Amino acid sequence: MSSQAVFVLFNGMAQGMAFFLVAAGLTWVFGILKILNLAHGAFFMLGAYIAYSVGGAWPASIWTFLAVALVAAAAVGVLGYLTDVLVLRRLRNVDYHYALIATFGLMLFCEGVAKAIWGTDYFAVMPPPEVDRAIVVGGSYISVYTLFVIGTGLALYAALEIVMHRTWAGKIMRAVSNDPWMAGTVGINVPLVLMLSVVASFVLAGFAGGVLVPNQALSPHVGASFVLYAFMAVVIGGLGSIRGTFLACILLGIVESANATFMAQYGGIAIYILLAVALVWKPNGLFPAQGTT
Amino acid sequence: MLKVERLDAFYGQSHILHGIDLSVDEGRRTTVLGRNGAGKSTLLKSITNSGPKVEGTVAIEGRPLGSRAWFRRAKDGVAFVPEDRRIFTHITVEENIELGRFGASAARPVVPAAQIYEWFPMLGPLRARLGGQLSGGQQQMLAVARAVAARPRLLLLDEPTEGLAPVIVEDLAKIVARICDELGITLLLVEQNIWFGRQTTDRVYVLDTGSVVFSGSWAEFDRDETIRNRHLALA
Repeated sequence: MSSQAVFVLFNGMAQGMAFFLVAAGLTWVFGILKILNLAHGAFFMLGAYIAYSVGGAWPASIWTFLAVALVAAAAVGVLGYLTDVLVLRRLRNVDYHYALIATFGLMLFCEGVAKAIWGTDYFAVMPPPEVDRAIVVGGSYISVYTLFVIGTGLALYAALEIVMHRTWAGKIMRAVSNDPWMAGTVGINVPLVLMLSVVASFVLAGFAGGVLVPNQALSPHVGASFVLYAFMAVVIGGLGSIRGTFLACILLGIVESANATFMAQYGGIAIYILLAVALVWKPNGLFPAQGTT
Repeated sequence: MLKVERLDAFYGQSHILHGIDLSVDEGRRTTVLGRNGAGKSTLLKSITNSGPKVEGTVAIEGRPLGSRAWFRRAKDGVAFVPEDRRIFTHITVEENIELGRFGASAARPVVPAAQIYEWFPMLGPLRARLGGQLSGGQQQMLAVARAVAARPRLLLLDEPTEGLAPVIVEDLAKIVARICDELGITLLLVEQNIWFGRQTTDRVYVLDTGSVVFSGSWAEFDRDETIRNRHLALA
């Protein structure tokens, strides 16, 4: 395999897993609540800022870096609870247009809050020292932080698959996703499951913010580009399907990486072609959600 | 055991049930008959607080349930099999039954899986199959199995025979009667299939346009030709 191909593969996987870290919470909450949360990227951004504020620009070690990401996840989870109580709970039984408008407003609100607290200057956070270097793979230099992001994305996917398909919590969530009325009729506390699902989705957004903060310049708009890819992945994979979203993220990452490497003059065009082809070929997504997220 | 008093139910502006009084004694079984649109399903959904806006009293074992949310009614010992069965289509038969156990409590331990499969022999070989891959008859059996898995005190069945082959209807009647006997379950059945009602219950109510127009034993029902002609349009 040529060094370019190795680079495309690793870089694409890293991008794909970064997309997945953001998209996981988005598809999760859609799968269970059927709400498309346009503010998801904004909470990812808040997670990144919180991680920056707690851990600073130079993480002491990978363990402190991960601990800081978990703090960001918990903090955004708390924000998720408040968002659920104040906004999302009121949208459970109304037309989805209201949810789009409300979550769009929430996104603008979060960006305003970020500007008020952290200003509009760009910040940079370094990767932890253990992964802030490069190794040579197949003649190509690969950043170890890239491998760390790939590993984190794969671990998150494995964890979500296990939770969804091997645990009681997963069975309950799939039942609520499949038929909330019947789930309540058999005795499942549906409002509690929905609230916990929102919190879980926000925890995932906050964790993604903490883990991916070294990947880019930190600004109030940092969520926008990620969430755009995350939305594409969720649409290509099948709304609400974690497996579909995971595969779509890999596909998007590799296509984007190949585009940037081999056709740099047409930067970014390949993913839109991929999106168009996917929508024509599989309009319901690669793995349409079937009461399973 | 179940006491419904002055029950009114509304869907939006539509007033569906008008001052329903109905009671079922402990361990007894009752059928509610009525034409389509008489309010039979609305009655069951009112008892479980899972649809219409409800006024009046629903009490189980002397305890008024008030406005307790629908998802808490299973813990109160109420199991509901809706007309459209509502099987969880994307999980297995076994998992559907497991979810049915959510309504169990310390006083009402879950029914062991082996017992469920003894009652419903046709489900045993299907336990690993997805709910959505079952036939209508199998889904109906599963819906009842799921409902009794938590050892309910009160079982509400909404037209369980609809769309089923006669041989399945016969099986289902025997199974429902057996389970109610063995667990001491009080049954409120909504049906249009009078044969099924006779096989499984001993009392009958007739609903017409949201009001109770008859209550009595099956023998009294058989003697009252007016009720049958006017309110059920039977030949």
